[in-house]
Amino acid sequence: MKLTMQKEPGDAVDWPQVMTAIAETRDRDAFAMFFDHFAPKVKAFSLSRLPGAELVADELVQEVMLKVWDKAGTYRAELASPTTWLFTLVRNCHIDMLRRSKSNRTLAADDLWYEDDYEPDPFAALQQQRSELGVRKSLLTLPEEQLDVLRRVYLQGKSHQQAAEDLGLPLGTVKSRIRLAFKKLESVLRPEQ
Amino acid sequence: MSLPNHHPSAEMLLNYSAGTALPGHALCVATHIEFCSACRAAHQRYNAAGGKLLEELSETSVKPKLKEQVLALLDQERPDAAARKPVKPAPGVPRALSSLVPEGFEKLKWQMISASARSSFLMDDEQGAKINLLKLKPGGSVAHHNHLGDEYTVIVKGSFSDEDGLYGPGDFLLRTAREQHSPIATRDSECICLTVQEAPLQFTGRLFRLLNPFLRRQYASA
Repeated sequence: MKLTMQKEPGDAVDWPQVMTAIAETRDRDAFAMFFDHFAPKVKAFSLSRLPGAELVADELVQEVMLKVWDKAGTYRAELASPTTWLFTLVRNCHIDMLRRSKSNRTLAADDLWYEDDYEPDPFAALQQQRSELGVRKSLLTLPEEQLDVLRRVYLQGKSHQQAAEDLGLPLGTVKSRIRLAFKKLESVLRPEQ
Repeated sequence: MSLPNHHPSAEMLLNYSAGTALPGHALCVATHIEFCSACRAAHQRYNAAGGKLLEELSETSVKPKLKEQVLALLDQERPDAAARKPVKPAPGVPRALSSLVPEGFEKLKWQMISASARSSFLMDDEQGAKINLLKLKPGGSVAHHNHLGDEYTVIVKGSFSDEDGLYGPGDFLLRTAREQHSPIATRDSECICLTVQEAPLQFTGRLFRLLNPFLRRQYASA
């Protein structure tokens, strides 16, 4: 049996299926639907990393959405949800855009992150799918103070040190909130142990 | 192949997933996770958290014009993006290093730093950290040294030991500023490591103290 990501409770749309339509039949309506739903989030991500930079945010939306169209075939519904895949595209495009503005030689994001290149064995694939679902299900049940720190890191691109300064907290407190958050997420991933 | 025993911290893995790690650090983590299925799985969990947080972002409106523009571009040729071929690294070269070491370790320019140690400079990262490969002959060693800044090491091939233990392929080490160590390759094979140094090395031997100004000059010009 081939397990794949399913429509999640609370989602009006079956996004894994939309991704499959984009990849397999080059369905432009499916793509337009994906754009309507996710482009505003991609833009919000860019504005969260670079507040006030409207033009850069629009450029990121364009680059990311074209990548979604070009790379839809690399999305693997048996391994990750469409938003996890999208997050990796957004992160990589954002980094490449930042580094492109500098003239000296840099490492391209595709050289540093290449999730798509791994071919997990069936056992690893099943584990990945399980942890994917587990993290997605329990992330929003974390205490607000832990979520707040995670948002600062992932969305605003803050280092642990910067997050601590912004919050007026000792660095150790920020680190322990992050540690507790992932400890909780990881504990729900091992139900049978 | 045995799994690595020494891993990047959870903080480094998180920064790698979130895309906030410095390029040199990201390169070390990327190299490590090729050898380490446990850290790869952790990385995927961190990506999943990133996806969920992206999904929960309060939305910002996107102009209809932008959508039209993107839809109009879908069928246009995009040579760069579409033509990215799956990269085939040279034999023995981790995927993370394939663009820096396109033709294999033998084809690199190696500079002699001692009778049994060679180094090959790969690049400076944005923050001025030096990204190098270090090659030790079987049984070879690096002079006793400490650092003015942190030094990250990932073993790519072979193994070495230092005062604290034995390290093999994929092992990830962080030596903080002023921690002294002197790695010695095991006798059975040569050892190649990726190193990222945040500030000049400081050799502590009498002879090497004389060399220090030259090392510093190399950094000053960066």
